[in-house]
Amino acid sequence: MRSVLYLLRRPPALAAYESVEMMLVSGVFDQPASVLFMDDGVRQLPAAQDGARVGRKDIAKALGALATYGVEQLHVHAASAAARGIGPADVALDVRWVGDDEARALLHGADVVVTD
Amino acid sequence: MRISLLILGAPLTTDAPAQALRFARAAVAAGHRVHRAFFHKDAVAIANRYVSLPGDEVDIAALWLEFAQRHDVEATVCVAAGARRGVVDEGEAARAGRRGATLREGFRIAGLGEMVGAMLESDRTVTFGA
Repeated sequence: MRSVLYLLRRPPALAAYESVEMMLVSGVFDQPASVLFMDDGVRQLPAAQDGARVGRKDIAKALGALATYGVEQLHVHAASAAARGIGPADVALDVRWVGDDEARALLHGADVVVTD
Repeated sequence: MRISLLILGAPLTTDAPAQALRFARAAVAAGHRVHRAFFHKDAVAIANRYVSLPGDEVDIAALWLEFAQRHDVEATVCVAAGARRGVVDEGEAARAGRRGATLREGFRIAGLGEMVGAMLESDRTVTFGA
């Protein structure tokens, strides 16, 4: 079955939430799916975020549901996170921190890459 | 090769639907088959039948529909993204307690499952982001 890598590069907003909806559907279809948070996409991850304070639906709950749907491979581009002051202590989700080479390998390894 | 397209960018403020159409035309010209075009996120605005453009502006929706019809391509619009942005068929309008469809004729409302299905059924899937 064709594998998909969801590449999230944008900050938290409806667009990211709608990407997560598609990830959940990939999970329902048992499609091998993984996620790479890169650039401003890493801003989805901090556990301390509170979307309600800016009148926005919180994405953290949806991201937390991914594993239940079989989307278990969440990757964070470490340099993107570091550049935004986000470290492992800020993230409650089970994620893998990857460097440039591994991020590149993920992009090349997936049959389909879906951006946000 | 069988190709599906995922189009995310809005028709007026991004080049995504126009770029996807140029790509689709080139793909067909090169002998490939475009299986499904799936409009998601802000791209669903392309299917709003109440859009009324000044005469000197390009109606990208009309160009897409003409291409889709000529080459038997499914032009589908995400049901959830459409509902959020007021692009609904009769059924979705009724479900939301509204009257009247806003979906332009020629487009079809579909669930995200159809996009994931297209990914699985196609040799290539190309995303046109915002």
